[in-house]
Amino acid sequence: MDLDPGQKDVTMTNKSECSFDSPAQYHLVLFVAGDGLNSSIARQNLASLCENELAGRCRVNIVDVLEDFSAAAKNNILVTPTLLVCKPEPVVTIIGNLSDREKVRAALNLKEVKP
Amino acid sequence: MTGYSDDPLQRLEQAESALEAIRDEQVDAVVGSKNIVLLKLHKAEQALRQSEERLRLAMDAGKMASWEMNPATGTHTSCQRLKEIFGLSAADGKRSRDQCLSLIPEEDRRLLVEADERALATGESFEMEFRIRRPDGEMRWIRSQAMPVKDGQGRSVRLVGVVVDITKRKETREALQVSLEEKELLLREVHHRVKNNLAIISGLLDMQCQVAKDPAAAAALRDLDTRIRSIALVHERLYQKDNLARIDFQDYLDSLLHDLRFSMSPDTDIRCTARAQRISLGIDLAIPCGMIINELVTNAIKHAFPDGKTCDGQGGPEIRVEAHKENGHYRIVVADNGIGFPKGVDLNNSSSFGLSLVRMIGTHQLGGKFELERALGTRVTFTFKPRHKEKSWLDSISAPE
Repeated sequence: MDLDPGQKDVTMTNKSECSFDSPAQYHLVLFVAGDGLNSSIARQNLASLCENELAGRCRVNIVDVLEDFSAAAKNNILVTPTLLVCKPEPVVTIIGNLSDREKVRAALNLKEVKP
Repeated sequence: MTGYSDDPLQRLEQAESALEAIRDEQVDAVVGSKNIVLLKLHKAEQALRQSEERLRLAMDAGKMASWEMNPATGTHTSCQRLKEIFGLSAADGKRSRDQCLSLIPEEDRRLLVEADERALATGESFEMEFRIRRPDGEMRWIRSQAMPVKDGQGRSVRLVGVVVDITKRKETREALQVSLEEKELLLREVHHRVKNNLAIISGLLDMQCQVAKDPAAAAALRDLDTRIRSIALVHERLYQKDNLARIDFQDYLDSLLHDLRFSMSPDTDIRCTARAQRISLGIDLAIPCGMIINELVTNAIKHAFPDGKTCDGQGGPEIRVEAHKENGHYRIVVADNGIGFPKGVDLNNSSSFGLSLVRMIGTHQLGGKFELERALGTRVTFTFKPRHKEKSWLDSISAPE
């Protein structure tokens, strides 16, 4: 994972807030383009995911490629929205607005966590 | 999904899933090596923009301003045009509701606030017109329509509405009303003057009649006088009643028969009755019909009852006038129980000026037809169907026979 050291953490909800002292099981980075429709949908879907299924187990960064182009370039992002699952390894890329909840769950290996 | 890697195969897989996401319209932007291309032609977004644009154009066309109020949070948002209508500057962003309300006169303000509360309580929309005094002192008429918005449980949680400046419309309506009243006054005045002038002519004829030495000349002047009076009566009825365009024919006939009866034959006891219920006529039909009835009744008073004789010698002399309307056709009946028309004399061959006049007006101007029945006195039935645009009755009189 090659994020800028200055990239700020974004706290999605109180529940998903994780400090660096207690390492989270998941580290997710969502790349969006401003307040585009799909970017907004992806933000909402990610917020709901963190709140419901990854509560207390995730750290989330949101990168707006319109503000931080270099982060997108460094991570070989082709389109937005794209979600990088940096942790657990190996890094997985999910492209799209995250509306397909099953695809997202599969990528996060969440199948057995909740029905 | 793929793992991020520099492996060319995985890069290809990523590119393919990116393309799939683009096809599914789940992508906002494509990140190139040097720049970012925003994908703007998103169907859903486009549809939303178009719908917003349509709404905006409609609001522009109607010069409507919109507002929204949330009583729970106490927030009130309004569009720029609302501020323009109320004469507030764009900077007056906060407390816009209070500012708007302060421009409404107290009584209307109270009613408006009550209506808002009632709408939220009952869930029913409402509309209201009121005046405002803008900060620059200008008075404006406003029409406000509001509708409560319900949440999932059916409770009204917000109030949305539109506001239109109807000052111009109000002014136009008031100007129209004034103009209408002026027109009515003028028309009433015209009818009054026509009636007065006809009364002067009638008076002159009366004076002339009194000095006429030849009895035939005097009789002709008297007949002319009754004809003039039957026309004057139409104008009198028009300006005396609320409706300036039509007269109540029953009312007209009652007066006409009363006048004829007492001017022509004050000493006899001929009973004259009229029945024309629920018939109202415009001036174009009232005058020719009035003249026809005037001639036929005058004729009956003069000739039907010599020395008070009737057809069967029983019962008093009687003249009946009736008017009916059926399927757009008018039927006028003038009947008496007198001794009857002389044998061989018909409406069509009579040499009498009065009956010629009846024939002329009835057939030429109104396009109707007459029917004469001689059983038990005389009964003349005249039927006609009004044309869309009547010729003036004067046209038919001046037209060569």
